[in-house]
Amino acid sequence: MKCGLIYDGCLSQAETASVLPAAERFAKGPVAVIECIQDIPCNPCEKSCPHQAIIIGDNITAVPRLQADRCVGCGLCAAQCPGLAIFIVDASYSATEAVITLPYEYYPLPKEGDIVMGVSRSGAAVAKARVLKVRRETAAYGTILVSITVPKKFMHTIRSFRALREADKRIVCRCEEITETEIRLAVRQGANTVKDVKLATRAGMGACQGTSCRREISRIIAEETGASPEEILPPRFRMPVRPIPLAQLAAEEGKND
Amino acid sequence: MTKKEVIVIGGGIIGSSVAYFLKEKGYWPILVDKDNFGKETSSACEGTVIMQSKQPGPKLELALKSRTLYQELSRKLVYDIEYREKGGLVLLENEQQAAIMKKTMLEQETFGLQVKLLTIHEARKLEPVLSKNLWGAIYSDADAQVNPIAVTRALLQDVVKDGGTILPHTKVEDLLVEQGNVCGIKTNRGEMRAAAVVNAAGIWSSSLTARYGYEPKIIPRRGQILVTEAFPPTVRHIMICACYLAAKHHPELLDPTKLQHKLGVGTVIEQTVHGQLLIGSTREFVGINKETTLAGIQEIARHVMKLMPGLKNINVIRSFSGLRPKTENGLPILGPVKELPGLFMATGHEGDGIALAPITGKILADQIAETGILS
Ligand SMILES: Cc1cc2nc3c(=O)[nH]c(=O)nc-3n(C[C@H](O)[C@H](O)[C@H](O)COP(=O)(O)OP(=O)(O)OC[C@H]3O[C@@H](n4cnc5c(N)ncnc54)[C@H](O)[C@@H]3O)c2cc1C
Repeated sequence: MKCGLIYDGCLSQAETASVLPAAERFAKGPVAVIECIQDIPCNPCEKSCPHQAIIIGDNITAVPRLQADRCVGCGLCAAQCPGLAIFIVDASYSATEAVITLPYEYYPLPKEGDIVMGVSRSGAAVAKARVLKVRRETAAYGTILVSITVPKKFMHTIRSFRALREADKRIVCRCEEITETEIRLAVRQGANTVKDVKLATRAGMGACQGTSCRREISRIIAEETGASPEEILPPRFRMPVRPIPLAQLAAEEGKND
Repeated sequence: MTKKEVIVIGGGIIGSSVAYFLKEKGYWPILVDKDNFGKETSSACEGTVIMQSKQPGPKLELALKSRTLYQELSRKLVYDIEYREKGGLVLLENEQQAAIMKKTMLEQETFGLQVKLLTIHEARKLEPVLSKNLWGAIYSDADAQVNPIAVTRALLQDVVKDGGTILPHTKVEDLLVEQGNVCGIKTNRGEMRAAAVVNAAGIWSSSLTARYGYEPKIIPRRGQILVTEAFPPTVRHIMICACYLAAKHHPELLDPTKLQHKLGVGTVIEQTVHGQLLIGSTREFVGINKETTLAGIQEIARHVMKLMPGLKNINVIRSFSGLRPKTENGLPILGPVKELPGLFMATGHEGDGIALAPITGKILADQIAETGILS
């Protein structure tokens, strides 16, 4: 199956890789990620940059090149890009979270502090995000730029967001607090047994060892993959059947081989 | 020039690390696994990155380098691998163990590993759960832990981010060999070619090359583990008992009539970032068998109760087991295969594969670059 911008409208992993600044640059603070790979006549990003960090040159159909050491991550290019193809990614925000600043053209606008669902380039739910800032960029016809904080591991995956839905709030694994949306995402990424889902999300790793959630997880896998729930491999059952204190397990009269 | 593709067989922590370092060196890795990634030994183990447990020699040297790489990876990878430098304690039950360990300590210091002998009084200040009846402990601040499931996922995510390919549910059935050179693989999904092939198939590694006359002995060695309920951070260090090291390095000191030693039980304990304790483990030769046994889990519980009675009320919620890929001399098999040019091995890490994964990936990528297979 072919994937990539001209096939399905989203950058493929390889295409994304070709536009990402170096990991060292990300670590230094906010930087523009220009997800523009088509030769189209367009150059507002080059013109908007006060630091001359974006180069298109005389050939207006050339793709923009970022000089990452000059970029300060101000976001003016993101507000100017008519294709909504530029994002500002700040990997230095905290040890576990990154900030993504993106142009947002829907109403109602989110409020600062809102919890939303971060989505991928194709619109698939990835992980919850928090709205950090909503700003109107007057230098760019009032384009709205929204900054959201996302788990760092998804900083190259999340590129927009939507309001929370029921499934995003519904906890399936109560011990580890894993939601239906997180489980569906894992299944869409290839997890097709209860064990796969467990390794991907921690669902079923908590105190009850999946007693209360494994059926629901099988049902979700079945629904997502089109298999019948009976076909979904159940998790392996392991001792002990019920939680048992270490001292009691040690003292119990057992087999000796 | 387009980049050279290198196939890696096996997406456990070792294959994932090899793919990652190949990518860093400018190759296009193609990683294949018969199932989803990281479902075998690399997710059925503990996550200790212990320096003190490595025999002074090549293993310790590799482990120290690997630890430095873990520090870099935990900074660089965007996925949290839960790497924590907690420091470690080797628990000594009696004077005889202390005497053996004192000799090892001197050797460890010549490799630059700083260790310190503590009385049981001093050790209990660090870890109040320890029994008063122990003799003492050896402390090192170099010991660390990591979440192996997260490491595998983090490495894979980074490989994919930079354009590498990962193919789950792709079972390698044979190597593709032309004029004596390995130039690809035959899988259930067809043939694939590449400039080089790396075999990181864990306990299955030698079955892939046996028909070409190369069959290093890799024996599955089962380890059973207990998982407890989560509770606030209490066990602050990674702890291992000296008899675990004896089982590893001085089997002659063990009493084969004791059940503990028959099952090879030596305690290795860590509290994960999520609050659960992982308590290992047995060391048994039972073939490809991932069951847990009542005798095994009870013996683990008995031994930990002797060392750490302070944990007596903590609930065990699960047991699991994994199969360590053991080689004959206890050292991993790393590098090109003379009999099969184009093929490289990265396997046989037994009980040290998590600790040694980063350095293994780095060594393999360097070796492939050196043989002139240019990126
Ligand atoms: C109980 C226990 C505790 C441990 N604790 C520690 C510890 O604290 N610290 C430490 O450093 N190490 C520890 N280890 C050791 C460590 O887990 C292993 O050394 C390591 O996981 C081995 O990794 P691997 O990638 O070689 O093997 P695996 O994780 O088994 O990966 C091999 C992969 O190859 C795939 N494969 C096999 N055949 C084929 C084929 N024909 N085609 C395609 N794919 C194939 C498999 O599906 C599998 O995913 C422990 C091990 C056990 C059992």
